[in-house]
Amino acid sequence: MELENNFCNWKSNIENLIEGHPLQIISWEATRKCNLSCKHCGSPSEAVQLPEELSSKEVIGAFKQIEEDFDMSHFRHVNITGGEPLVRKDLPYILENISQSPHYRNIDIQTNGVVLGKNSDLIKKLKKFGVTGIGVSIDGDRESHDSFRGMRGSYDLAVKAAKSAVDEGLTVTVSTVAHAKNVDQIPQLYESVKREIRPRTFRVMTIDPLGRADLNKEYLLSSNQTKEVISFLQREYADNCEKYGNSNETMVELGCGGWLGKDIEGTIRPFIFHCVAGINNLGILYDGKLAACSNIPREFGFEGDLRKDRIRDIWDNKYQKYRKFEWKKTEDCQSCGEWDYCHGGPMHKMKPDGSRTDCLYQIINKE
Amino acid sequence: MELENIAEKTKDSKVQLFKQRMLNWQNPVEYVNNMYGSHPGDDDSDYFRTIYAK
Repeated sequence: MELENNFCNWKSNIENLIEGHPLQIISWEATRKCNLSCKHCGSPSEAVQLPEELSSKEVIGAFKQIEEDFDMSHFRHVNITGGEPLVRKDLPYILENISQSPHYRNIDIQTNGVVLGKNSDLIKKLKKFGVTGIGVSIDGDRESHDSFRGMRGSYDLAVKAAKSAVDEGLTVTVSTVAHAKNVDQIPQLYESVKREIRPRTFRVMTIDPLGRADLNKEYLLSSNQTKEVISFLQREYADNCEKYGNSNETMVELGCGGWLGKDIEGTIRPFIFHCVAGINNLGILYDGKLAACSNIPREFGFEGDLRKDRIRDIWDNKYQKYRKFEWKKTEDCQSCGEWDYCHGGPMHKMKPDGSRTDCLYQIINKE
Repeated sequence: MELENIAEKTKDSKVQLFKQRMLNWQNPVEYVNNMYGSHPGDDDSDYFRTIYAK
């Protein structure tokens, strides 16, 4: 009964958050250009810089405009994604400019580690220009990672990049995409990452059938493999979570792949999941289109364009599909008892017609 | 990896205590705000230290 009351309280807080939708996170897709061509990538990354990419002046201007127009008292962090953000040559210049603001005091970069691993001085420069967190992708042992990433040596560079960020005192997340060909390596990878890199977080995401991963179907997980991943993370969480208050410890988590049900939520990662796209998370795409999160497929459309619109106007008046959920109540959701809490799950798994690629709650509860 | 009984691990008392604290945190998506770092809350609270206090 007490747990049920706690969930009612949480649900009420979620509803208040949606109603107020305070801006707390900006996810900026710095570029579509990437120096790798990974088999699982959900983002349509490119080998070259696209001509419509925002200039450094436009990016700096957008961050200034946000500060001027929004209530920044609840703002927390800027998350820089790609493509591969660090192939963008003017990134240090942009960071130097935006990090002068007291509102942009926490800046995180998601990287494959190739540029960072090759340039040992870069991490110091990034730190100087306000970067506080680094997320590095490592997808298995050396052979598996290099094959998946399509570049020999990419594993060693990723490990080097993550270690250099830890040594520099940044908060580091090592992210692993669990897929059919590395799923058995995950426990060993976790031990190795914990021992050799000592990141704050070891994040596992189950592969989504999006982008390139949807073309490489042999990488998609079976239901049993998904359950194995969840089971492993839950065991590790239960065995070690009492140490997580110490920032030197490595936490495990299942990334934002979806709701797991009221019983399992809060027992596998340090949070109760609810997608925040368009609720407290603003996505700025490489060409200035305004989205809710850079992980959401482009076919889903955009809410606005910072080259034409005032960002605050779009934030206040659009984003309705991220804040009103009835259109997502299709298929299994129509009769699911979890709907009031998950509201149909993460937006990056949604299709414009209200169907979804998968639901983790349904997967783990089916025999 | 071996497939375990997923529900079994949820019964641990310390896991349940931490879960209860997560559910009662004022900002229900506080952790997302802390992704990739530990970013103090509006009241300067440290999410991880508070949730996982003994």
